[in-house]
Amino acid sequence: METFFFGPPSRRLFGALDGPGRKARAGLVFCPPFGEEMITTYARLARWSKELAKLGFAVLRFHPYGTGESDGTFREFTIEGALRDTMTAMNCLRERTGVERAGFFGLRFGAFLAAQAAQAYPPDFLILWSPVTDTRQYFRDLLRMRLTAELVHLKADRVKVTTKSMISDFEAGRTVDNLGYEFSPALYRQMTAGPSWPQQPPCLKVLWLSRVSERTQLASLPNDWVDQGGNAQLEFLQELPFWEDFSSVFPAKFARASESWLAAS
Amino acid sequence: MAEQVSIPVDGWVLHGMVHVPQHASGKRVGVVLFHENFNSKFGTHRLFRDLGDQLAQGGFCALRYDDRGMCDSPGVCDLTIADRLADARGAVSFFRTQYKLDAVVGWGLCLGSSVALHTAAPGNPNEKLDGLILCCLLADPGIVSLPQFGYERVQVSKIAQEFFLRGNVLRKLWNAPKSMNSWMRKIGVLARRYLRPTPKELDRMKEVIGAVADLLVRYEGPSLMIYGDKDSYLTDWVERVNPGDKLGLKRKKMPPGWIVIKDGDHTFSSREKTEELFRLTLDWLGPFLAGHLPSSPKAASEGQQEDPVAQAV
Repeated sequence: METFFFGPPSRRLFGALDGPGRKARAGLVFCPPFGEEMITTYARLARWSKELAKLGFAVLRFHPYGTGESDGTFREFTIEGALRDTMTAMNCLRERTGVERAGFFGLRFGAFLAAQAAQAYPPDFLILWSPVTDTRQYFRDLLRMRLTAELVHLKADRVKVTTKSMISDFEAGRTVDNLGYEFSPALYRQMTAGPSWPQQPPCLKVLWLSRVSERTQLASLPNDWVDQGGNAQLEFLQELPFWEDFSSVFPAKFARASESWLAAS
Repeated sequence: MAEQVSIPVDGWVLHGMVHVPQHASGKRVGVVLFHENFNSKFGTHRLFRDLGDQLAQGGFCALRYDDRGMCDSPGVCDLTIADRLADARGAVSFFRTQYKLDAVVGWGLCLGSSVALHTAAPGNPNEKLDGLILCCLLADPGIVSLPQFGYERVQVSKIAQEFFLRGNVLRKLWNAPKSMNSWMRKIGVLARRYLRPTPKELDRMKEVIGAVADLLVRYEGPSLMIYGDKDSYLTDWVERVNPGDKLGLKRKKMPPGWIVIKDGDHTFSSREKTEELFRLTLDWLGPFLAGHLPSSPKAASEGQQEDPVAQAV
């Protein structure tokens, strides 16, 4: 395993590369989830990355600008920037390992990034775990989390902020502190009116894994991908929403299904 | 800007980041940041990374690291509490010797605070900690049974409490025949969990956390305890671990400083609270740079308690 900084000096990104070096069967760029979900899943995705390395895959985990160990502050995090970083990471993986086949893997918002990056820069394959398909709704849910936290900790009459007031702040060009993460007006704009979920699979081979309970929420999106040909495989598994807490519970069902699919591809 | 370091411990290598001050003056003081349970060295809402930067700006060296086989440290390890303590000692020793430090202070959050206290127990002089900042100290062994620690166990008393004290019991009994299938499934799962033997690691963890209060009593250096008033760990400390100063911290030669941050939660999750936490940390650490020991902390704002711990409880 190797850890390093890469990318232009004005936008240094942190990366951790697991794998057998130049003998790798294929490469994967791990796109991390957003905000606190990146933190809650970090140890578990790192573990899966190391397990994939033992199976012969080269895996680059990277931190988008403004997150983790990468340079920048969280208020500088935007979808556009994170997409550029995702592609920089793919170039870095190919240069360092020389792999012929490489794909993106993403969890939650990371899966959204992976799908967007795949549209612009079609990889050989794409693995998505419980993707966020509607960033507008997702962003609203994030704002509501702050309200929920304040309602839990403070008495209701002391909660001064509302979703509306936070949106007003964004529209007035002010950042909003959401549980320690400073969301910028640019991020708000891109989350609410930015790129939409691709209508068709952005590359030839796609594995889409979601939890059984997500079936109704996703409506026909994954089936539309499957219907549109290519080799999009969709599975609903009995997995826990492991990104919601800090426990050590490993998403074994998602991991094993992905490994089998990778081995067969 | 932080530099990457590799810390060898017991045949493992820990990945760490060291923040070094650009303009150092006075004593060379290092702060080792001990993170919470299953977390990374940059921490929730990047708390540790930002604190490292702030400490370096304030003239301190700061070390953050991942435990063996976790996150960015190579290998895979089913981390035990003994591993965590060995890693902490290894990190302190590495930091003190490699960076030629005059003093090393431990700064921990939650389980990280407990690890810092164990590391501060007398041992090798290279591993000793010259001061401690303990945030949201985990000192109640009952807490480690919670699911976030990974050793979920069914406690009959908790289940009974849940059934009888939450919601309308009569309605639950009335509806029971209709939801019999669901109840049978739940009872089956609960019974299996109840009958499962207690993992040995949970017992070890409880033992280690149970020793924390005593270690604080015996610790002879300066220390500062910080809690958020919205953190349930504060209640645990005040009501279960040290009710009425039963530990006698007030009588210590050097009682711990005590600060409760108003509206602060378990991870100080707002920029305002985080900045307050950083400022309190830097204020308390300041005297170390001049070779002195810290005195009682200054209150940050109205509503904060700054009394020694025993007075506050």
